[in-house]
Amino acid sequence: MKILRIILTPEKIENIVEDVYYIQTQLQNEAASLNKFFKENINILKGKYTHIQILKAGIETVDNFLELLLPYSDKKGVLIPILQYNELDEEGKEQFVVFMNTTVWKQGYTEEYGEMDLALANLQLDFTLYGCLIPLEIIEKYPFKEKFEYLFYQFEWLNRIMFFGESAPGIPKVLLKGIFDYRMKDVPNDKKVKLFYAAQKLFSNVEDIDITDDVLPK
Amino acid sequence: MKINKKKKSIFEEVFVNKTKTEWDPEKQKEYKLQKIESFFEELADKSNRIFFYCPDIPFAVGTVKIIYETVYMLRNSGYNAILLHEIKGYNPEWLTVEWKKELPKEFLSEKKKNKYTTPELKFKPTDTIVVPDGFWTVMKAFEKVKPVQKVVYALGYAGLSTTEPGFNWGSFGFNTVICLNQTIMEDYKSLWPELTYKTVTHWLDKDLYQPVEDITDIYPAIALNVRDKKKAIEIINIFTSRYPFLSMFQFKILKKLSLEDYINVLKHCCLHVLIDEDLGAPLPPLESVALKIPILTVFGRGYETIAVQDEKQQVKFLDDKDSFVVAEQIAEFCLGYLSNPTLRLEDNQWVLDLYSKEKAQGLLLEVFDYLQEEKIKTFVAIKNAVEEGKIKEDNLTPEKIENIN
Repeated sequence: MKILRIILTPEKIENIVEDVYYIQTQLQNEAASLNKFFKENINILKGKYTHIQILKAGIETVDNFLELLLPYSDKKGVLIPILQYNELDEEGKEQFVVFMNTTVWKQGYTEEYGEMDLALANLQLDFTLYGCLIPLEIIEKYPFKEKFEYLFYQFEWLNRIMFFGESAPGIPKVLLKGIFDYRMKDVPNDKKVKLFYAAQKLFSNVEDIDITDDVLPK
Repeated sequence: MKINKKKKSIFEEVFVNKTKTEWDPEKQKEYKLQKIESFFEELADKSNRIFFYCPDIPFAVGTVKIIYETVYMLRNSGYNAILLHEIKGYNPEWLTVEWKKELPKEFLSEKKKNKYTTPELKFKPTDTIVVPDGFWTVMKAFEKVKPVQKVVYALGYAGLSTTEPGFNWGSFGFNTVICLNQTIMEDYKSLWPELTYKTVTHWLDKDLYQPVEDITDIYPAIALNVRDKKKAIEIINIFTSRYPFLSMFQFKILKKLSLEDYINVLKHCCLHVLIDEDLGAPLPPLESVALKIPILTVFGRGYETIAVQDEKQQVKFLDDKDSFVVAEQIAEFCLGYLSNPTLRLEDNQWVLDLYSKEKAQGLLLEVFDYLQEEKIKTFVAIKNAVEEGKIKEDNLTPEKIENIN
């Protein structure tokens, strides 16, 4: 497993570190920025890496990341590790809030224990794509939908790959920790709700669904 | 349970009824000696029966498992061990291993149209009856069945409250006690030193207790092995309310599972929590080590031996069984599990070596060879007494013959 770490940051950072690539972008444009990068570089990446890992400035991998990942590195599909989500307290100190991507390990949420499926993906309970290990062929096959702003591009993407039968096993280890705007504080609630339902409706597990662009937000 | 006292054993038929006939004394003597010779033959080829009383417990429980495995081991070693159940038809479905089906069973009663009847089960002088400790009422019921050899199989069952005041197992003719481990033996010996004690050992079948090879098959799940259901619920409630961020850790309650399911569930869990101070033998900690699953437990009977044998101190003992403390220690372990590649136990070889089936079978055979020898000695004494004419027709009772040695 050879991983390229892509770090999304609002600031411009020069790319000089090996196996790490910084992309300057804002939250609402992440999908477009990532698509642009993959479109331009996919062939080069395919020669050098097997997986990409999308990170956000503020999220860091744990010190023993590779050691923890190693036993799971043979698993097929998008690997979903646990992320320790922190927030800043009133004094500006990082405080642990919750572990994310844990629902695959909870009883009764998935058909196969420890494996993401469409029903769970649809619920969007505690999923974040940040830190997931995505095989290059999957990212090439399923580009992000740019119409889904903010973090909803991740939700829609997960629903879509689950809908089309890709596998996404969980890794029950904390591989990442950090802060990011999971709550999307600056986005109006009605917009969040609209995007949420749009992403859910498009690839719900209801049979005979008509997949059209009609449900996408204008 | 009913013991049909009206029916006479073959022994009584031979030595009591027949001797009261008008037979010639020499013929009687010859007949007795012939009968005794047939007993010797039985004992020599080990075809004499060894009945293991086994309670009809419908769900998975260690007592039934141990008794079945003991019977299986003895049969494999040439002894005619037979399971003795209460009611005809009992079959421990949860004991899903194949060999269970081949074990012969006898029943003390049979249910016909809502009435219990006693089947034709007669005991012979060459028979041995083995009853687990804790079933003193059963021992009492066998009091009149003489002169079979009677043995207690001390599994540490339900502590020491095993007879009514003023009695011990010897009062019912159960003078020999086979103890499953040294601690059980010491406990009983301190109480009733006049009985004869032999120690065997518990064992783990290494073919069944195979740890998972791939550590990715160990899941964030806690195997909870708690005797008191309320306690189990309390621990789960405290854990989930105090540590909601660890809700991904599932609790698997190890109760009423078939043996295979028990092992399958346990070997995929990341932690085994055992809170059972009434456990007769410390089998679950050994099972855990054999499967390389970390264990947190309270100190129970027989654990001293494990604590010494476990040089790397892999079995962790809880300081306090208070549910808050237990939940806290589970949470601490869970956090460790999330940030460590593996918290599996490294060394399970000492358990597999010390508690191997071969070793246990060796000890078990030593004990039953001893019992067989004792029985032969009794019959030699009877034979000598008959030959010397010491046994008279008018004073011949099974009790006297039993004490002739």
